[in-house]
Amino acid sequence: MKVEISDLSHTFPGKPPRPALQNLTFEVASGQFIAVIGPSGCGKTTLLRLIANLLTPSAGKITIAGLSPAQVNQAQRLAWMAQNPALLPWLNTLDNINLARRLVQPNGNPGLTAQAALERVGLAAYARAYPPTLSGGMQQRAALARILTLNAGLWLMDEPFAALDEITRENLAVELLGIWQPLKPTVLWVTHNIYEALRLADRVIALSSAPAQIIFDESIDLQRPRVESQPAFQQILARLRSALGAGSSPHWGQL
Amino acid sequence: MNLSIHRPAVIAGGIVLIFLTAWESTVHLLKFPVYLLPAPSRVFRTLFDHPLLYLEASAYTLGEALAGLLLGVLAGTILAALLTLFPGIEDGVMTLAILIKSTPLVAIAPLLTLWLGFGVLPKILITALLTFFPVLVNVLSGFQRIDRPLMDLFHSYHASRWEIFRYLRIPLALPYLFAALKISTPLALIGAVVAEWSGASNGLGHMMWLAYSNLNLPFMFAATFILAAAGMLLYQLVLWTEQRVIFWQTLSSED
Repeated sequence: MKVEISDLSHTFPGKPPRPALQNLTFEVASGQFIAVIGPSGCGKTTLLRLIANLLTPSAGKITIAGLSPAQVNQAQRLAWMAQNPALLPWLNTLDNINLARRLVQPNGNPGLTAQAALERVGLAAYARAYPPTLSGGMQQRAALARILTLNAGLWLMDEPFAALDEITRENLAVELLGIWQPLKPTVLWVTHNIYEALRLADRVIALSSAPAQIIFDESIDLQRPRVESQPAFQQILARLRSALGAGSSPHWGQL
Repeated sequence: MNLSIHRPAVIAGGIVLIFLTAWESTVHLLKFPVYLLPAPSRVFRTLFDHPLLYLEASAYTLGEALAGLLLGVLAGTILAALLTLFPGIEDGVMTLAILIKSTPLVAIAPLLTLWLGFGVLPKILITALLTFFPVLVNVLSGFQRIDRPLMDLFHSYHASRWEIFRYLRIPLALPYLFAALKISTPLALIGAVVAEWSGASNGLGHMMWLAYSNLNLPFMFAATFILAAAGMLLYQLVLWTEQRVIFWQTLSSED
């Protein structure tokens, strides 16, 4: 699903009002994996929530495959995944996924069955386990399996692996690419991890601190899996670093 | 039997035993007259001399208390559900509920007895009135609890208000229902007994009132002992049920 953002601004009401996004304009081609990166509190989550119809923008327009976010939401064609795996603790893994399948009935074209999705993410043995008994990484795997059953054309992912340890995080990112490639949904991946963005995405967009504006927008035409030591990777990394260094607060250097 | 599991019961039993022993010896040492303070041994003897009498009265009072509790819990839960599904009416209904709650029970009880007679109906109604409010307040805050990640997920599915209520709000409110039951269950016994004081043909409250009029204190204390034991047992029953119903709260991951 193609995503078009034009002149998008959002300000949270209050005293004083907090501007989060200012005149953002960009397009995401259908089937692209886009990483949106920016410092904490820069408005990247707000951007994702606006696209997900969890918020209504103050100004500007979002079009997803020719439809408004509300229409896409109503048609149940978007999938949402955040840092919190949002599994219901009173349902086992399988029932969690089946509940999503019951609530979302994509127009006659169901995705994987719950069991198949669990096998796909390597959780088949934990179908009957309750979420609180699973590790953080396994919980995110279950959340990923849940998305796989929904057959959504747009995956909105708000730092889904940010709370995991570095090793689990890297493994999951590699597996995610393997899952994404044959399906090719459009992915908007919000992160504050530069390496993750460059390893995963077809294109990286960096935002300045709030109110967010685009300070970097580049396609990453490198073969996957990407190796950080590659000169081309290092060049893009340097350009992204300098853009972020110029466009935001000093603590940015530690990334 | 495993002592560590039963430790709280052993400690509680020990304290009760010490208390009863101190009571017993004080009565004997200071030679209290039986119409002021009977020794516990005397109370128990009274109890075991008239087992059928107490059994019948207990069944009567417990029946009233449980029927009233059931009515109060149902009314409180249903009202809380209605206020959650139709939030517009909340302020008006809550004002009314507080008005009912603030009217003294001792004022309502004789009236209901006057209108409805000496049977069980006024007792059940009074108990329901007494137990209804804690359930309403607690369950309402349970239903209205916002679990942001789960809400986002359900909104991303475009779940209806009813689906959110059924799959999310009801399980999330269960811990609040049990918190309310821990308050309302002991209140139910008080409600039934106080209602019986204002006129009844049977029951522990009725017996206490008769015994008090005749200064037959062993008789009165025997009824009190039964009430205390029943209250404790019912409370334990609530705890036992809670652990089984809200099983996911005690689950945890191994890492």
